[in-house]
Amino acid sequence: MPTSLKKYMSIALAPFIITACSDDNKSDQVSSPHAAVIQTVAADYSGADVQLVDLASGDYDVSSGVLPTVASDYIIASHNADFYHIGRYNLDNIAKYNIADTGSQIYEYSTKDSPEADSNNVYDMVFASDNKAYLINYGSDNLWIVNPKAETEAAFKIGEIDLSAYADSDGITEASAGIIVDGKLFVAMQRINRNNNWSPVDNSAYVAVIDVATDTEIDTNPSDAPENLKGIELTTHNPGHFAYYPGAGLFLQASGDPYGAAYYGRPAGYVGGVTKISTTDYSIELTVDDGSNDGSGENPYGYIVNVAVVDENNGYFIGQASYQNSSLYHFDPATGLVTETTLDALQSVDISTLSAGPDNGLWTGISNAADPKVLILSDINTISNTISLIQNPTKITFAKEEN
Amino acid sequence: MQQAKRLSFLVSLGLCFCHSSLNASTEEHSTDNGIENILVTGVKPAAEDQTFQVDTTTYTGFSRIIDRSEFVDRYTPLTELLNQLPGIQTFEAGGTGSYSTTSIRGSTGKQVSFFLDGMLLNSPSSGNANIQFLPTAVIERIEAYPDFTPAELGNANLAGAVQFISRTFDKHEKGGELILSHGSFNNQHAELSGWSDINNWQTLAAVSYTDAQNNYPVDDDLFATSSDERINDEFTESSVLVKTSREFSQAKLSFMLQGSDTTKGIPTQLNRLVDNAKLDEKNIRLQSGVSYKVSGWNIGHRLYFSKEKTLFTDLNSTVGLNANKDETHIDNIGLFQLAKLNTETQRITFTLDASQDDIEQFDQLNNKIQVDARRNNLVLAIADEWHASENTSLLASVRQYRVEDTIDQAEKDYQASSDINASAYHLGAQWQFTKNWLLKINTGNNIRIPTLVEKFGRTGLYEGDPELKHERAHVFDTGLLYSTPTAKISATLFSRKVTDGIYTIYDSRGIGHPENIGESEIQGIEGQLFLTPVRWFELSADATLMDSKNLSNIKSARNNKMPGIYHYSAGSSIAWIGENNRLNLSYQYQDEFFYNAANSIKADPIKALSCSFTHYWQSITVDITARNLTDKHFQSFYMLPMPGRSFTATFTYIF
Repeated sequence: MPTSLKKYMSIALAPFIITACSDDNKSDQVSSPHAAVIQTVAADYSGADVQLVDLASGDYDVSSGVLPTVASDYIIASHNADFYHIGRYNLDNIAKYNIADTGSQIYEYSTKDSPEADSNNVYDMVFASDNKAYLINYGSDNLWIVNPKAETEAAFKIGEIDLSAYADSDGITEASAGIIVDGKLFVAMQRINRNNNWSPVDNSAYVAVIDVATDTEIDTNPSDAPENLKGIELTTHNPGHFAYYPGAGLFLQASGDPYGAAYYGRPAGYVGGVTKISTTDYSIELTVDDGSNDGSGENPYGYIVNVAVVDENNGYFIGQASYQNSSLYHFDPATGLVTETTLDALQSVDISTLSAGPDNGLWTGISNAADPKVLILSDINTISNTISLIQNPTKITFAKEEN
Repeated sequence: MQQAKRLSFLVSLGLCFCHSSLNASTEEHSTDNGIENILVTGVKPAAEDQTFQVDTTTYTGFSRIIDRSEFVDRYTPLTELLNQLPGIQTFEAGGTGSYSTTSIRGSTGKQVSFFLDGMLLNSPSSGNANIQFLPTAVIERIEAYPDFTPAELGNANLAGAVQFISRTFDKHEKGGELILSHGSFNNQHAELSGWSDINNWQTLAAVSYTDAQNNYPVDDDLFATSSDERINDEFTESSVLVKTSREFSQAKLSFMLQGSDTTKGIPTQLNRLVDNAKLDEKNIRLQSGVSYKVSGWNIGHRLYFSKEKTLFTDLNSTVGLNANKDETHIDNIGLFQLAKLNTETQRITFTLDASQDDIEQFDQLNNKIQVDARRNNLVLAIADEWHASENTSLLASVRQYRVEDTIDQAEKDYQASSDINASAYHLGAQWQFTKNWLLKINTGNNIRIPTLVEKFGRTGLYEGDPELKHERAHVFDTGLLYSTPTAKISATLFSRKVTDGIYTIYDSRGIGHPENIGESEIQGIEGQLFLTPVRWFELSADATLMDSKNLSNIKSARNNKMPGIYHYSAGSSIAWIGENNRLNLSYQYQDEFFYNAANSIKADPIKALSCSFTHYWQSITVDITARNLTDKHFQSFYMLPMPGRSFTATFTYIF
């Protein structure tokens, strides 16, 4: 890392204040640190930052300039009161912080096996426990098992899970998301063909299921031929985000092939949607379909690019029609019935991220060069809070100190 | 602020020192041993065709000139030469021959036009000019116009122009020059040139070869990889220049051929051993010109043609996400017409530059045409220079642009494109109010035409906008120039307000889209002085202080300083000149550079000390130059480290 960048990264930035509300009658006790950690990026990609929203006080105070960077390809992951700042393609590092003291970096480790190796391009970090997590590597054919509490870089990586069976002709599986449900790690793999203009439709997308206790892959269809892949073959292409809520189930969004028609002369690419995955028998059901792919134009939502489920009855997804033109939709996790928001603020705008927040609220990130923000929804047509940001939000996570 | 005050103090001190020096000595100083001074304004060799040239003595806009004598004794990259001028900053990705951009008074690289003998070097596709691929062997003089582009150069840009004048020589002179140089990091350079009058054709030929490994050491903490030196930054170049001209009784005819063959490694931010991306470029430029007089009018016609082929190879995907092997052809043909009427009180100049650019980019790996586009340019310029008195000149010039783009193939299916019709103007005045003092003042409106990439996109999910408008800027500057045989001083106040600036905005899918949402203001002061109080001593210094404000509607950028430029820069150089020796010591300081529009990451200041020793013996000159003596790896361009301390030895033989 360049010297100047290290210097600025290490500057003690305005610490995230542990709110002690004593004079506003909100609480007579010191609240535990609780924050939304938002990765943001400049509208012109000239840099990125992390912004924190204080949830402990209830005031939604925003801290900016928490982790400014010149590079823009960063994501955030949170576990308890810790959050992890992960540099993706060709950045290949992970830095750990605590929301109570964002000015103090706990560690920074590499996410590559060797400096000369290709970028692992970490897309997600999934926590099994305080001492065990998985790095979802988009740029390789394996997952890393890591110890988030490692005190040395050598102790950080504690294992690998081989996914090379899913690699297509380009040798990479493009694992894009992960989630742990009932002691099983579900890993979505796009299996994009990089040798054909990054086509997501040349190969079937899969979900591999890993037993977290043993770190071995579960054969989701033991009755088929042994040489077949063990994972769940999807009917949609280009999976990107999982969403899970007890009682509602596990859902996986897939965006299809949004760029194929415009840039590479492929068909329209409406081969995405929201798929419900059984966490017991691994059956799948297309809960929301993005419409026909025959060029008839019967695609009411555009491409479905993100999903969140906030409770048993309320799921949401982003439907994207074109450049800076997306809208928010609600779906019933049980029936798949879809309704569009009536809020102008969430129609034909650039909704960049969704996240299920505290109190069953939906956090929607709005990218807008002049007015980036997060809208918190209590239901599809009710905005309960607006949080103004400095840069466009790309990922929202929540960190809270466990009492 | 402290630094700004310090710089202001330095400038003031310099001016005071200069003033006292002038009082102490007004002795005229001529060139010794072939050494000439850094000149604020220059004098052109008699053999040059003045018809196409800018008369800087009466031109009201500001100009800076670097003569060949400034770099002939030592191998010096063009970027380093330009960096010596106030208001001009160059940013490089690495060592010799690396990708570079040039900023004038806080502009972007695309807003500056580069010319070689009037031929525009900027790519219609990217907007940038690969000046690092232009060898100094072909250059006689560099002219920089930091505010307005004179009518003689036709196609003007938003932030001024830099013109390279190709080698020339005095009539009936005959001779040659051999230059050999060897430097740190396995950098070698050789050039051979000769000139003669052959059957009344004044002919000059020059060839040069440069081989630079640029494998300079890098600090351990700059890269995660194990390499302790810069990887894949090598550069090789062969070039040729042939010029010939003949004067007839009523006319002058000239031809110029320039070509080069370049291979450049592309270093990355990871500096891995596997890095092997390369850019091969071959180009050839041909120009024929004729000038003559008719009824008091000086008439000139230039027919020019250039062909450029680049091959970008990145089979290991070290630069981008994909393996690439892309071949790009850019062909340009044009006709430049000029008519100048000189009367006792006026000089009226008409120029009409009509040209066509053809661009084709072919993806060799996927056997697919990526871009096939054509741009037709028509630029009409009219300038009237009125010499109101012996000491006063007024200038009014206008330009009208018409640009038509045709896209046959692009990454995205664009159906049509808007033609661009735009105009610009320049009003200026200069007043020589004493023998030594000159006042200049200029105001006007400049524009930048969107590039083809901005209009039609490029590979990698960068969408163009065929309806994109041109950038506009209101420009103002005024300054004083003081000139005596022993001192030249200038101080200039400038401002530029840009509207409809083209910024690329990325949506949540990561797709870039250019928009006319940029708005910014830049104000500053730049000064330059050159003193030769006694024959054996020279002092030169320059300083530029800028303040900028981003007025765009981008929330994270609004009211911040503009990124990518040093707001404070200063340089000074002192030389001791003996009978056969010259010792030069120079220092450069640059600060207040932000990497990002949010101004949250700031670059370390540049504080570079360099020196050179030159020995002259009959027809031989030997020079040893040490650059960046403190051995710091300064970073500005995408945080890439520049070379540390280096040494270069240059041998010159004139025959």
